[in-house]
Amino acid sequence: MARAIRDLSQIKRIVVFNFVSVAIVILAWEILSRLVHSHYFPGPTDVARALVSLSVSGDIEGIKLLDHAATSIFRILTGFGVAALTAVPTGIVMGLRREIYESSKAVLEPLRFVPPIAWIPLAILLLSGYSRYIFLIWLGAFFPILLNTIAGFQRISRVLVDVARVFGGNRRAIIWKIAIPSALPEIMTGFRVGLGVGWMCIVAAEMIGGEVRGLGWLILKNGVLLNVSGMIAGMIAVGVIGLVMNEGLLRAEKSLFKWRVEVRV
Amino acid sequence: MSAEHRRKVKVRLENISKYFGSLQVLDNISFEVAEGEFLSLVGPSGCGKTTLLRIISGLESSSSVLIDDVPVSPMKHNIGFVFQEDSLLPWRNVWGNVAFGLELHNKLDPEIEKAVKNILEVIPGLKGFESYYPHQLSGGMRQRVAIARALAIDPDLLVMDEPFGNVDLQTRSIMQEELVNLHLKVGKTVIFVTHNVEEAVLLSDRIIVLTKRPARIKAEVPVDLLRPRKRFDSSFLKLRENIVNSMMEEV
Repeated sequence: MARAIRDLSQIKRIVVFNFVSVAIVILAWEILSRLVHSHYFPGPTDVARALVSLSVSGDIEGIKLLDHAATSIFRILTGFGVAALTAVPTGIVMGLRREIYESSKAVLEPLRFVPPIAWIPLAILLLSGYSRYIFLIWLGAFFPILLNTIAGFQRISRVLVDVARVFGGNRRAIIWKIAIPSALPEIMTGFRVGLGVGWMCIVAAEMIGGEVRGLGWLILKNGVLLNVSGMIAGMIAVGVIGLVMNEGLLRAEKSLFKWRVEVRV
Repeated sequence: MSAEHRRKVKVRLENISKYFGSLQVLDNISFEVAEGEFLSLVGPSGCGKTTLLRIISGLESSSSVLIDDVPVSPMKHNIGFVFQEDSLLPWRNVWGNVAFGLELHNKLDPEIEKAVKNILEVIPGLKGFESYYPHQLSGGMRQRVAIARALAIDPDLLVMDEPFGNVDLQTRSIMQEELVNLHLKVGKTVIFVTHNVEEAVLLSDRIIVLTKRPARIKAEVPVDLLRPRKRFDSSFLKLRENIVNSMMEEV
């Protein structure tokens, strides 16, 4: 990461540039859609109209955009919560006892490389309702959190452990007062990456999950109805919510671990 | 130092040898440190001074180090250790770092608060910085905090491993003076490692010169100069030269 950006005018400039980037993309999109001039390639104004109508009057079943988004967000948060509650303790145990991690690699690594999307058919067969979504998000978020947690324990400074030992600290004290605080920033990074992967999984899962709520379902349904504007409106919602969640966690990381972020050059 | 004979022996090392595999680092080292004495160990780099300190403080196990006639153990003794490297907990502010040793000794909160407050009064320059984090402090300030942390537990023994090694020269000489005053004030038993002879002469009651690896005791030099000592007095310079010469034979 580059140097921490402190200068207010610099922050303002970055915000302005981002608005300019968005404007450029919208403009290029508008021009392209006019050139293509196809019913299947709506311009930004069509999509904006679709966004408004989805928000105000909802889709053909009358479910509003906000309801779809809320459903997806609720699913991701539950699944993510389950992933955090399982991955962090496992990661702590494996981080402190590397041999457990090393000797379970033959199980963990192949599992890790099966994309959560590939689990969808099995999840549909074996699970129903909510548990399907929770399971798929859990799959997506679990490994980034687990691996980052384990990695966090590899960075513990020997000197700090010696400090605790020379003050008479036992193993328990070293774990709670040195090892876990040292690993926390890495665990937080795992949360951020895991949340991102989980978000992609939930959208994919909702497309096939069978329930009529959720942004994934909204996108797929509009695709089936050949309502491209509505489809893109759903995609934009997915992207914007992802951005907001990621930025939120980045902010939290920065303020919680100031001591670390600011020394990183 | 005739008074020294009457002083109680605080730390006793009996025939310490140490091997790392087939590599011998320490060869039969024995000495005693009196209560309240400031002892420096000097020797060429890489001679095993740090290893010796780790043994003395109980970080490496050994039954041949006695503090108050009991084999050293961090669980039984209060040992204040100042490391050469950055050793502050980066996620704790100055106050939290100074309190760290007391917390590990399971002291109660009011007791911790009192001890931290006291020590922040004693160590110069720390008052007003309680809420600063290590990354916001200079190297010299960080070592002051490390010294405060070591002294906060009211240690039986203060062990310092080249504490000013990474500090710039000007700050270093200021901190040396501070340490002289601090020792006069709190009167702790100190074992101090350095390869800077001037520093050793300035601070110590006695200096032990170690040979190159495997380290043996080459010479024991009492420093009978009144404090505060002047670095350019002829007696200071002469003593310093003697020790430097003794060390040069080892390089």
